[in-house]
Amino acid sequence: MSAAGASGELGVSVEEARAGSPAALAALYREHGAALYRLAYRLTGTPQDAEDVVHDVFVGLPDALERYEERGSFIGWLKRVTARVALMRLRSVKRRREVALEATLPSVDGPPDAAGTALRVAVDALPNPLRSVLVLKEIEGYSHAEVGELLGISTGASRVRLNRAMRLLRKTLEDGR
Amino acid sequence: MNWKDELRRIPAPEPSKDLLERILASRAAGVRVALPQERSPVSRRAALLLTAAAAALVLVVSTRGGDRRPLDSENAYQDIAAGLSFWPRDAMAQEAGPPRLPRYEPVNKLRVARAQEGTWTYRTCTVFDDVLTKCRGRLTIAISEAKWEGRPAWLISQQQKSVRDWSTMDTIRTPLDTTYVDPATLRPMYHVMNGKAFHFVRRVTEDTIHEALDIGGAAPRSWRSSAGIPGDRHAPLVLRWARVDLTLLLQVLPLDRWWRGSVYSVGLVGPDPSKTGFVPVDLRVVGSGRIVVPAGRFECWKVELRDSPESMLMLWVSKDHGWLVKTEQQGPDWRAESALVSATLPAP
Repeated sequence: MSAAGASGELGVSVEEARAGSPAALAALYREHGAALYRLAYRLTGTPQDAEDVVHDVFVGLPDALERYEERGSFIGWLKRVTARVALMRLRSVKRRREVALEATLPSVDGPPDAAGTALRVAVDALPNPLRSVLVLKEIEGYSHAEVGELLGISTGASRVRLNRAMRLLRKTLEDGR
Repeated sequence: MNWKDELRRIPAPEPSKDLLERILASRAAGVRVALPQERSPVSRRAALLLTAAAAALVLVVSTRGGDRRPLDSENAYQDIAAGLSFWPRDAMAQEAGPPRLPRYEPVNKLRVARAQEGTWTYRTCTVFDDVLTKCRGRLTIAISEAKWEGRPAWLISQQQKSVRDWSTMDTIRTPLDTTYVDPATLRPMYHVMNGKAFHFVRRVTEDTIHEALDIGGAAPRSWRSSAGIPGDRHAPLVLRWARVDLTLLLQVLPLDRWWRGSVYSVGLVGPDPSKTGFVPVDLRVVGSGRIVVPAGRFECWKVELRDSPESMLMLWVSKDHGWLVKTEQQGPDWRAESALVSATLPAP
């Protein structure tokens, strides 16, 4: 089978990647690596953790593809796998990120946007369980049911966490004014 | 533009230029990573039943791919955790690590005359994020005198039911879990769980456990396997994934403020006995106090139970009779609790 039908863009052979072909794996990385990295970064909060997550996902991908059942889109499946790996990493670390904020913020071209920076800092300051829901629901666009499934919580708990995340965000932004 | 749009516009850095190179180098060097699986599209009810019958679940998981893959306990149904003694993290580990050693002296002094018949019922609750509390489960454990193959035994059974929908009283019942225990040593002799689609039996001799599993349904599977049990042949053992014998063991432990001891737990043998996990369970009294549960007020020992550095269950054990009064298990963002609702003893 080809991922073309699934991703709609690239004719990379999933069969070849499944067989461990480095060229096929590299093609899949070039196609989806950046999007997966952004998701991992938003969930883990540090570039180092995000790189580790993407590294693990692609190293494990050929074996995982053996169990891939081709339901839904290929990138959707890849994103869910990446989210799970990132969430597992968050759980295993179980510590607040204490690295300097400057080190974790991405460098962007152009003048710094004060409002954007404040929002970024506020999101980064959220506790992991709340930030995970916010990222998955509001940035990645998953439904509460899907967020609950990914995090192993109920749909109601997902709603509660999003509500708490919003309140905390607003408070942090207001306090920073 | 609203703030959600702003959220989506938060930039993220690009991955390092050499990340792909490192990935390919890792693959070429033979590095392999077992990624978490997507949940199969079985019904929620079927999944819950399988989870509750945790041994059977492990069997199903481990027989799918022929290897043991990590199962994220946080993704399971936490309220069932309140009805289980030990969430089997170690047994579900991706790779068997070096065997963990008991932390304390093996338990060898038991006050077996203190063991008593009765029925204990617990309410099981899960608290999410300290905000959302769900109390949907009832766990019932019954202990009675019996005989097993002509020998005196304690017959212990447990069953948990969980109300899924209060409006329709749609209730899920875990399979009945039954164990015959040697009253002199508190070693299980025979353990059976029967579900609609599986039959799971474990027989324990002095030094060996024999296991038989039959799974029905669309993809029937079976295995028979055996493994040697570590530790003293006459030391008590507990079964993982069941609270049945823990309830009895706590009745006969000589707890005091400084008591501590370790017992081995009997894990799943599985199709590959070399991967069998006999995980030591370390118990330690960490305090005492009076607690109130629906069944009343109890003076209790607070006992910490660990079966891995990360996995801890807190037990409150009544000082007078050794009843298990309350349990609490903490997850990353949930807390599973069980509390004694009633205790019924046989008429004198």
